Amino acid sequence: MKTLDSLYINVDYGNGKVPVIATKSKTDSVLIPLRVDENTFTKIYVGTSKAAITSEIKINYLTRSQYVSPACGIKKIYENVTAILEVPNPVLEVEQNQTQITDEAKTHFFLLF
Amino acid sequence: MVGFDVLNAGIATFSDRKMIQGFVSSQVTKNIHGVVEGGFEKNIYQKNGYDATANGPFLKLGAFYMLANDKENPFNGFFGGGKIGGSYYSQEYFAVPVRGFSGSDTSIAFPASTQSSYWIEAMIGGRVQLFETPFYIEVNMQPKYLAYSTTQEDLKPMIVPGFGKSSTKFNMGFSWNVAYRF
Repeated sequence: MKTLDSLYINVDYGNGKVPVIATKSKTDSVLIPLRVDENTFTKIYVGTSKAAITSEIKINYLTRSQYVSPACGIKKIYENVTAILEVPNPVLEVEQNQTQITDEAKTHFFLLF
Repeated sequence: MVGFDVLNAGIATFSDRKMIQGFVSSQVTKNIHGVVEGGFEKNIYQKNGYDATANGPFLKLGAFYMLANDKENPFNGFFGGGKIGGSYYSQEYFAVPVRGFSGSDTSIAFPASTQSSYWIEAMIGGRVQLFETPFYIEVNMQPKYLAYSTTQEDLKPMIVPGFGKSSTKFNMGFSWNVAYRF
């Protein structure tokens, strides 16, 4: 697995792009929260420098709701997950590892740089 | 003895919690009194992304023991006891939160439904006769534990009439009663 020297990820949660990951340290994996509303996709933007967060990945899914606890409320389970690399560079390819996202325990996607 | 909770009835006029309750108690043996309590509560829960309402009647059955009493009037004194309570109520959760990243929280609404809950409560309090009249003033507090609830899609109740408003299984109740002794 390749380790990046820096990684920048912005995510659109419905109100424009929000920086989620901005790290200059060596990184080989990141956790990115998806949208929890009724939308059927989340768009994430990936770059290796702050000036060029240019790759666009659209993650499509169907959501299901599951009650967790009084304090947590409801969590979303993402099913039939697929990813499309809409704009390449610096990400060259998206490799899918899982089609369902229920928690953070598994690696769901590999981004190839 | 018949009593009416004036504290919660008074609070109901200027709070979201509308609760009226009263009790009937009867001396079983020298120091043991049986008690039946009943009432109605309507309440809302609007906190941490929740928006819920519940209302319905409740009933409690129990007994208390006079721990210490006045020699001249055995009805004056301190008592402790226990009760089991149940409520059959209608609830509606307009919003249950879905926590999202960076303020992108949303919520899910559930249709109105009818549920029931059961709890146990301890009771500790004191009672004193109001001068030479048949009226008594009684103050008591009730630590409560919610034992069982029917649920709507596993949704734990945030409000149970008679039990109160709580996101945990424990709650504390206070009442201030005016009672009449026949």
